[in-house]
This record gives sequence, structure tokens and C-alpha cells, in this order.
Amino acid sequence: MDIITFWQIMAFSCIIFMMFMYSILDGFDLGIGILIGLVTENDEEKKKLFAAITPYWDGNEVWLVIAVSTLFAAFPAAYSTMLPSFYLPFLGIIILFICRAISLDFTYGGSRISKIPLAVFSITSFLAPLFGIFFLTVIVSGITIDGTGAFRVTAGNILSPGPIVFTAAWLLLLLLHTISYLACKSDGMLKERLLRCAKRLWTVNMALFPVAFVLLCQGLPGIWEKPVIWLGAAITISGMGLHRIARKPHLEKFMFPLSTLAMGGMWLIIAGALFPNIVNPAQQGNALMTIYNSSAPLNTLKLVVLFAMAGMAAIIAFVLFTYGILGKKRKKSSEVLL
Amino acid sequence: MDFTTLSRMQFGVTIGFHYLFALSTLGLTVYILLFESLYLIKAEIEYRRISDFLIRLLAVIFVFGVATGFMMPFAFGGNWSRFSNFAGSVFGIQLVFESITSFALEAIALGILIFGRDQVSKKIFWLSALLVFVGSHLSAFWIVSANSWMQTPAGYAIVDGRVVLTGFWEAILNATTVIRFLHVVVATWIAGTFLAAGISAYHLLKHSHEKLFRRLLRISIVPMLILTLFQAFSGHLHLLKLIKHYPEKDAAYEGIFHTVKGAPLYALGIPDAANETIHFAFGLPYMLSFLESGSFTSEVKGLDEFPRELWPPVNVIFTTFHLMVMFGVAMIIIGAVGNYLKIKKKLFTQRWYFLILLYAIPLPYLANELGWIGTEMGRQPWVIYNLLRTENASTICLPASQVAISLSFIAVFYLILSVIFLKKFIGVIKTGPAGADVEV
Repeated sequence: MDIITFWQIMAFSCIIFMMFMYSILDGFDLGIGILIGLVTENDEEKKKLFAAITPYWDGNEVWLVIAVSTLFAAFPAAYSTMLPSFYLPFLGIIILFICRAISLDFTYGGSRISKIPLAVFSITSFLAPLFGIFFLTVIVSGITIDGTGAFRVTAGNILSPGPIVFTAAWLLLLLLHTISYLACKSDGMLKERLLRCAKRLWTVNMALFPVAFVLLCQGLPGIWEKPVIWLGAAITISGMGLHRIARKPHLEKFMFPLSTLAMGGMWLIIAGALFPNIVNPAQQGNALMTIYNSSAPLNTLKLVVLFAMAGMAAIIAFVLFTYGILGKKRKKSSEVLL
Repeated sequence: MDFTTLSRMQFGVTIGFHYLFALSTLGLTVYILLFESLYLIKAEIEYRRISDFLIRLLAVIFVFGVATGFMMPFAFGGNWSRFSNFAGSVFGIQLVFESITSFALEAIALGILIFGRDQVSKKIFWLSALLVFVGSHLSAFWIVSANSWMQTPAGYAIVDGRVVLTGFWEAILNATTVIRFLHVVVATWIAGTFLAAGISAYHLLKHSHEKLFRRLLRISIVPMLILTLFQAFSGHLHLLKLIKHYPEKDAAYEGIFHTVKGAPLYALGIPDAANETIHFAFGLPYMLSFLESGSFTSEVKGLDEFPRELWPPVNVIFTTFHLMVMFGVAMIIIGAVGNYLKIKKKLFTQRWYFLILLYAIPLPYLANELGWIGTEMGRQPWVIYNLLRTENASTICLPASQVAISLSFIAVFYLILSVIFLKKFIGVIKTGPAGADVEV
């Protein structure tokens, strides 16, 4: 392996890790947005769920921002090909994120829950990951490249069962992950309802995941020879399998690490299915967008990777510190500022 | 309209809108840090009440700032893909550094500021205020550095038709980074002083929380004058840098079409690039030569020294620059009057001055927007000065119709967001700080 290949792989790994961190941290923000209208029965319960995310949500989105900027700096050719190719879909996803952030600000005013912002928050919390994950799985399953070198999404790309079923499985896992987070932050009837919901989600997802995995990977050349794919699937299955055991009262604290493990497995599958491509081609022999032919020069790659690694370590430490101090019970009751 | 023009319009709308929030954020973080420091040292509850009130304002601004900031990286890749491909390995580094060093710091620490008052010690809370201050200012540094690199690129080589980084510090601290950063940061602080003074004036007019807002106004009025005066000086230093590194832009700012000895400094006028003149010009004779070199008779380079196709759009940037300066002068006068009233111990008795302060809140925002329009349009026809022309930086494979759709959508969407923001922001201002004033 030559030196630039090493840094290209490192940059690719960093981006995957950043996306993993984003999915586990902002994942439960998004999940709460989806679940809030389904599992709560009154404003008090809704407030409890909001209190679990409001101090952290913008910090959680940091991971998406650094992943995007790292992709830009490390693989500028890929970045400048992908964005125009999916221009309006990307714009749509960004608008959803903007609406979500602002509606969150308006939903919970400290004393009462406003209905319209709550509806916007719930809808956008569902649509943003739905489209985001679907887009990612479409990239994995393969996209047509036209004569100008741009990617063109066709009906065949979108309507194939692999991306649709894998997206559904991932969304279910995201909800399971959210409940795992909330299990430690709620009590009483709300907690019972959440755990009942987790039981149903778990059953469906255990049945759905193997099908989704096979459908997504089938047809990708050489996919079954990649050990990382099998490792990813094994980790996801193990995480979810053990999650079932952790739903017992004295083991609940393990639910969140186990759903995080399962999420990690999903990202290993994605990374393995893509590598070394950044976008998989729909047909073999098409021009490829790989980490090798779309990367920045060596000195930029080194700088970006080293800085990103140091930065990620610092951010994780800072996030743990913040969750630690804000997770403690309040010294005295006070209204939330917003 | 072609793809490039539509993309320029879209970028102008998105960044112009986002900048309003970034500007307010920086200005407020200074105040929050100041009041948290005073609260930490003096333990007076009034300082905490002011700080809590400003944190509520910051929380609203920050959400809109973060949300609208998502559009920037999208535009770089989507509308300006040839620019991103050409310069991503230098320009992208600055965005990575910005997101890791500043956005992360700012966003995470802000969670403590908004929700952690009762959960953390005073020192940790103060530290959070410091981190939000540092994070937001670092963010400004990286963005200004990236923009300055586009104005005065350095630390690079062209290899296989793309920019390659050859010197990190040369690229980051290029010829105009430091002075432009200073100019931008001081502009945000001025916006902070005008916002704080305007809010104080509103409450003093309404006789609500008078003790607290007298304190906020008193603290704001001295820096208001000092910063606006300093801003005129930093602007001058910036122009001196331009003379050396970007002379055609300086000539366009000043409306100097022909190289001349003893050049006048225009204060007013209507530029006419087609006829290479300034109509109804009013200014000080010889003053531009003096300001640029210290001699009243020195030569000032005119636009005629450069090929016409490389001229920036003179009419626009002369106008925006001079309007910015006029707003700047207005702000200096408002600051000077306030300090005069303060010295005469009449600051809190003049209702007319409160009204001026209230209606002056938009002034620094307008000056900032005009300054940026001048800066960015003044770089035309280049995206990266002397390296990449705007017409060669936009995306090829995307039809103009898609940008027309996105531009229309964004324009309407941002209009709605503006209404929502103002409703919330004004609501927070009108509500004022929690609790009642404490009489000592």
C-alpha cells in the first residue's frame, strides 16, 4: 500500500465514523421527533421527551457538518460531482433539516407545547432520515452515470427493493435506538409504553434486517467476498439480539450501547458495500467515483485526517462532559430558557 | 437568465441571510462573556439577569444561524462544482477547521449556556460563555480566512489543473486575512453594541426593568463610539492592503477611473462606468492620495491601468462602499452624541436619543451587508483572484431551470423564516429579563 492510499482510506474511514457518530447522537433526536406523537398521552410526557434532547440537538448535528466538510476537503471531485447530480433532492433534505431545527425551537416554550411546530417537528424528523437513509442506500445499490460524468438517478435506481427495504430496517433500528436512550430518561406509564413499542419494533426488525441485508447487497460485484460486510451484519444481529435480553429491568442501561453497536454494524455494511467507491455504479464497467481518483492531494489529505482525528477525540470528550453535567438532576427547578 | 447568474443570486440571498445571524451571534457572545465575568467576580444578580436575557436572544439567533448555514456547503458543491473541484483541497481545509474547532465548540457549549444555569457551577457556566465566545470568533476567523484566500490567494500551486496546498500558514494567513478578520469582528461587535443599546432604549422608553437596562446602556455607549472610530481606521488599513494586493478593486471602490496625481476622496457621487466618470461628485481634493501614501500629490492607480474586461462592476461597488461609509459615519455620530450625553449626565433623560438608538439597530446590519456586497462583487469577474473566473467556476451539468426552482423556493422560504424569526426575536425582547429589578 503506498502512502497516499493509506491516507485516502483513513479519510474514508473518518467520514464513515463521523456519520456513525451522527447517526447514534442525532439519531435519537430524530427518533424522538418521530415517536413523540405516537407514544405520549399528554403535554407533560412530551416535555419529558423534549427535555431529553433540547440541550444536545445542535451539538449532535456537529457530526453531520464535520462529515460533510471532510468529504469536501478530502474528496473534492466526489463532492463536486455528487452535489449537482442530486441537487434538488439534497436541497429538499436541507430544507427539512432547517424546518426541523426551527420548529424544535418553537415547539417547547418552557411551559406549553405548541401544536403546529410540534407537527412540523414530527413530520420533518421522519422525512429527513427517511430521505437521507434512502439516498445513502441508493448510492450503495448503484447509480447510473451519464455521458457528462454526472450521476443520474433513474426509476430503476429508486424502485429497486434493496434501498427501500434497507431504509425501512434502518429506520426501525433508529426508533429502537431512540427508545434505548429514553428508557433511562423516563419512568412510569411512559416508560412502559416505550418498552412495549420496543418489543414490537424489535420483532419486526429482526425479521426484516436479514432480508434487507440480502436485498441491498445482491448484485453488487464481489460483495460476499468482503469480510467487513459479514462483520457488519454479525455486529448488527448481535447488537439487536442482545438488545432483547437487555430489556429486563436491571439490564436496561445496556440497551443504548447495544443499539449503538447495531448502528455501528449498519455503517460497516455501508462502508464495506461502497469501498473503494464513493458512489457505486449501476452497471459494471461504468466510470467509477472511487476514493483513489477523487481525493485531494497528499498534503491536504494528511492535514485533514490528522486534524479530524484529533478534533473527533476532543469533541467526543466534550460531548461526554456535556452529557454528564447536563444529565444530572437540576439543583432546583427552573424553567428552560427557550 | 443563465446558470451562473442564477447561482450568484442564490448564493447572495443565502449568505446574505445567514450573515445576519452570524453577525448577531458574535456581538452577543461578547456581552454574555462580559456579564458572566462580572457575575463571577461581583456576584451581583443583576449581571446574571442581563446575561440570561441575552442568552435567550442568542438561543433564538443561533438556531436560525445554524439552520441557514446548512445551505453554504450545499451551494459550494451544487452550484459551484468546478470551483469546489478546482480549489477544494485548500478551501475545504478551512471549512473542516471551521466545523471542528468552532462550530463544535460553539454548538456544544451553547447547550450548557441555555440549559445548564442550575446544573453547573458558576465557573463552568462562565467557561461555557468563554467557549461560545471563542468558538463563534474562531468560526469567523476560518470563514474570513477562506474568503480572503479567494481575494488574495497564497500558499498554493497549480498541479494538473487543480490547486494544491504548498504552505498551510501562507494560505490561512494570506495577505488580507488579518485585517479583514479584524474589520469583520469589530463590525460584529458594533452590531452587538447597537443591538444592546437599542433594546435598552426600548425598555427605558417603556419604563420596564429600568435599573437593569440603564446598566446595559451605560456599558454599551462607550464601546459604541470607540469601536465605530476604530472601524473607520481598520477599514482604511484594509484599503491600504488592497492598493498593494488588489489595486483595481481599490480603484473601483474609490471611483478612480484614470491614474492621477493628487486624487480626490469622493464622499458622494453617482458612478458612471460607461463614461468613466462620477456624476455630482462631492469630495475632498487630494485627500485620497494623502490617505494612501501620506503625500497630497502622490499618484493613485486608476482602473485604466487594467483591461476593461477585468474591471469589477464599478457602479455597484462604488455605491455600496460609499453607502457603507455613510452608515458608518452615522454610527460614529450616534456614539459620539451618546457619550456626550453620558458625560453631561443626561443619557437617561433624553427620550429622543432612546428613539434614535431604537431605530438605529438596523444600521450596522445594513453597513455589514453593503460591505460584503462590495467585497464580493468587487472580486468579479473572479471567484479566486487571478486564478478562476466566475463563469468557469459554476456547475456545468445542471440545467439553469433547477437553480431557478431552488432560488424561487429559497427566496419564499427565507421570507417566511424572516417573519417567524422577527416574531420570536421581538417577542423575547418585549418580554424582557425574568424577575424584577432589585433595589440596592
